[in-house]
Amino acid sequence: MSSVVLRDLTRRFGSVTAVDRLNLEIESGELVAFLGPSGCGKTTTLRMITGLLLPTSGDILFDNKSIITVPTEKRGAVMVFQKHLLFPTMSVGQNVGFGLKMQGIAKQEIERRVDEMLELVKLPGFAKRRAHELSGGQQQRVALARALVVRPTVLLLDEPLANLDANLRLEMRELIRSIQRELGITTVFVTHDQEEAVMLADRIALMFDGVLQQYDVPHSFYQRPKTVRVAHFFRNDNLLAGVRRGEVIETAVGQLRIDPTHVTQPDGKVLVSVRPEDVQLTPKLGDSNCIEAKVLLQVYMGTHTQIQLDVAGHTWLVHGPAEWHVNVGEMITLQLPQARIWLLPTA
Amino acid sequence: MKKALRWVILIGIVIVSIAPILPQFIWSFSHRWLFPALLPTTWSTEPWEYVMTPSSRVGEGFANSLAIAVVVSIFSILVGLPAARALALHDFRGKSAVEWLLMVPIIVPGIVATMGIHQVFIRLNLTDTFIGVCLVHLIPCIPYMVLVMSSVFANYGTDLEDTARTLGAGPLNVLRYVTLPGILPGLLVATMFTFLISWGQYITTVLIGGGVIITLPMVLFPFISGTNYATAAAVSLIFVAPAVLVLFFTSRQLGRESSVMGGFGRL
Amino acid sequence: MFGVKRTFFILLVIMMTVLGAVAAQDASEDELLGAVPGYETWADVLAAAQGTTVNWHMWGGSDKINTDVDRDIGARVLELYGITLNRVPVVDTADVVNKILDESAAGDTTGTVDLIWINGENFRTLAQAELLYGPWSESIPNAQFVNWEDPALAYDFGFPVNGYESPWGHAQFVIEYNTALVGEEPPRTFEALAEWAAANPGLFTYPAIPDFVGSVFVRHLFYWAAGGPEPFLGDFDQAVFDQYAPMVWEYLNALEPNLWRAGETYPEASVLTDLLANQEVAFNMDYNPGRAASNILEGIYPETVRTFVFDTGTISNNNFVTIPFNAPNAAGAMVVANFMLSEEYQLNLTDPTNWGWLSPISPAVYSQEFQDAVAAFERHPATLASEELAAHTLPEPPSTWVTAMEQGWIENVLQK
Repeated sequence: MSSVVLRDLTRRFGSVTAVDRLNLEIESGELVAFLGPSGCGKTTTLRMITGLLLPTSGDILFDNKSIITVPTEKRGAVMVFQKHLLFPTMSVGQNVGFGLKMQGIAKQEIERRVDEMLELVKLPGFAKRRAHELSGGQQQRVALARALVVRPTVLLLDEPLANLDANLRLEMRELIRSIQRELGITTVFVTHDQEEAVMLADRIALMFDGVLQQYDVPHSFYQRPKTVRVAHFFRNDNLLAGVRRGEVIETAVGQLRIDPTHVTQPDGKVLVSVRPEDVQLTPKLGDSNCIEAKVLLQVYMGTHTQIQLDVAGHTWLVHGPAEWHVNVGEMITLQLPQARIWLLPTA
Repeated sequence: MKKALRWVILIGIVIVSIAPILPQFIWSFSHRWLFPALLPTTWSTEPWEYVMTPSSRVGEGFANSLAIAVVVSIFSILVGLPAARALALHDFRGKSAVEWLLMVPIIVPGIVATMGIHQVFIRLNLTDTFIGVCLVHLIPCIPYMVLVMSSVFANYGTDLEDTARTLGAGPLNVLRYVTLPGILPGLLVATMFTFLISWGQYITTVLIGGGVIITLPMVLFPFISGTNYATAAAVSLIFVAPAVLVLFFTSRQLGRESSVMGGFGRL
Repeated sequence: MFGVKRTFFILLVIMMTVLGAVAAQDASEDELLGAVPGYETWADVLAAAQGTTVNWHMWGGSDKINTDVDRDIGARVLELYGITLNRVPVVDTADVVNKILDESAAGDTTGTVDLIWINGENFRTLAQAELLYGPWSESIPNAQFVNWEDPALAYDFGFPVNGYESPWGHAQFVIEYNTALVGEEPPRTFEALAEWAAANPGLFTYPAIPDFVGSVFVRHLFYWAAGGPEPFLGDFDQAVFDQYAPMVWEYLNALEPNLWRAGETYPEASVLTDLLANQEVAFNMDYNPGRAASNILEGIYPETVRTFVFDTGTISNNNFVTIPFNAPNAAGAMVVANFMLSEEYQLNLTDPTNWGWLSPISPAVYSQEFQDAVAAFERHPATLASEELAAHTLPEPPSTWVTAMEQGWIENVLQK
């Protein structure tokens, strides 16, 4: 396992720039998610790390050594694809042992390590089975075992959970996490599902249109998004235009007080943002940062109720208790906790 | 129960494949078979004796046809496989033009194309040679190889090869352990196709081979215009023998690997 | 017993070898009767041909002809002249003609075809394109036996042979009929044929044009309409054609409802042969007067099939071989063509138990032994005597007439 550094990594396809000057450092043993909508360049980046695709410019370093001229088969960056998981003409054991066979390791040794690895992915005794006899989840685990058995310098997973149903997803997610922890393998996985990224990854690299938007620990994407777009991707569309003057924001619905140690935007035009789950619907008397909003819609969500509001021309979503009831058109008072107000740059 | 059903189906297939050539078989042993007799009234091994004589040139034609078809199949693979892969998996300028051009030898009547090719071959000194005949057979064979194999490649994709690369397999090992085993059933079917296309070529062989190379169709086809059905039947049985073997072989392959059926999608 | 047999066999082999050597000696003493391109003397031709291969392109659809050619020509020219005869089977001689046209267009002066068994139409194509070697056929030694005055030998479908083709066998149109259905006495005139067909509907038909047998059947009707072949032997004349054609179309259209399948369809020649073989029709027709006999012997036809010619005669022509301009081995081809006019070969050709063809050559020009042998042949009852055939022979018209008649049939009979 090694650290991975991407330096100004760029890839163009004709006139399209799929990945644009990407800079990223992945620590040894870290589990990183490449997150973004499809076509954002995350899989392209993954392929460049494996060497299956050559960058147009930029560099890739494993343990601070450039591997840009090293061919795929010598990099030790093993990729697990989302489709066509197993070699159909080989047994499960042959699949798992493939990488070891390529290294020229003795047959008994291969068998021993294959059995060991099948044990680890909870498929003991499956070595003689044919690939097509396994379920989707089992195939996924065999593919994982096949990658892990060669002790890759970096493990690359392309949408590893995309083709599994909900129960299997959970199981697989835990398996990946636990094995990754146990073996300490530097791992990068690609996903378009922000929840999956948050639950699995140590750090998330969010990409839009080939450009890295934010590279951070998961909770930062909720509490400290860098842009409106990042906030939107993490389901926060509650925005309110205002002007910062020190600890006070002037808005159309009145003054709001902020925690100056928390926010990063300087004085001037800003967008105020509070996550739906952070907005207080039952302000106590004397609370500051109270604003008026008109109810547009209420949707019962089982565990809570979701209310759509009009805040000075912006549409906000807030979460209330499941039993809460308001009438559409009613004016209600919201409280925005000082420590939960985050400021975004305008546009 | 399931096994019994399988046997019924198997026997059914055998009957259906043998039925069309059964009358040929009877004809080839007939001396006199006039309407409305159900079977020949006089039997004879004369047609087969004729087939065995050097005069019939059946042995010579068979050997030449076999040698040509084998060489043509090998070259179809060598040329068609990389082309099929490129067409299936890569985008490049003029790809649709290449795809269209590939269809041309299948659409254009053979005789029209062959006349032009004949003149070119004369200028290149390729007529009346074994190589020349093989080359002219390649013209209708390669498109079939490319069309079948490009769908096989498209079906198979590159993910497995890429997986193998990242697992430490060099290009040769990828070819040996992943690509070839994966496309093998499709490749077998495509090779059978090209073999049979070459096997059945007549006018191209006549023009380019110039009578120096005698193939089985050149021996057989005149008999179809003749009136001696018994001899025609004996020669045609020898002519269809490889086709029946190929049919048997490919149907087994098709039964085993349903993925190969993908190869017919584009035909 | 065995010893005697073996001695006899050895003696026979020695005799044949000696005879062969004598024959070869004889041949080498032959002289050219005139000039041939590229060679001064026949000895030069023989020397050039020695040890070579002759590629003879010929229709290959008859196992009998294939075997007969290899045995009675191929094996013999190898023995006598050291020539290997490579018989190239073809479906349609037009393919060979196209090949030579292509080669000429590409400027290829050494082709692969040495000798072609050719019909009048294809001969005309190659001759008019000047793609033939020659003239040679009147100059080879055995051309002395050929009566070049005979229009059937001097012209091939009205096109002058002029030394570019050598005859091989003679053909005469005959009608084959099944006595089991027709009786012993067939209808020998077109009037009688029409009456018979009316009385026995569905049992007569003729091959669809452009089949050459169907075509020659229609030519006979033009001769019948004009009371003889004379008006059609010169250059094509539209007025003459228009004068006789209506009568022909009228006859054929009146006949049509009485034909096999009420004339809704006309069979191909090979199908018609099957129909006669299966007794579904009572008549067939062919250019080879001996074919009925050989089909009976081969088990194709019922034993009851016989042949006849019309009282007013039937058209006869000759099988020719020709040499293309770019033949790599014209010398060898000439030696083979010369052998095909030899007494030895023509005896095999006319032997009803062997080839069973007609000879293009009058027996009188050969030795007394030849004439005695021919006289001693036992004729198959289905084959007419050569005297009867010779007494009823009609010439072929030039192929321009043939084209017009064929086109007329398609427009006025098939499409009516």
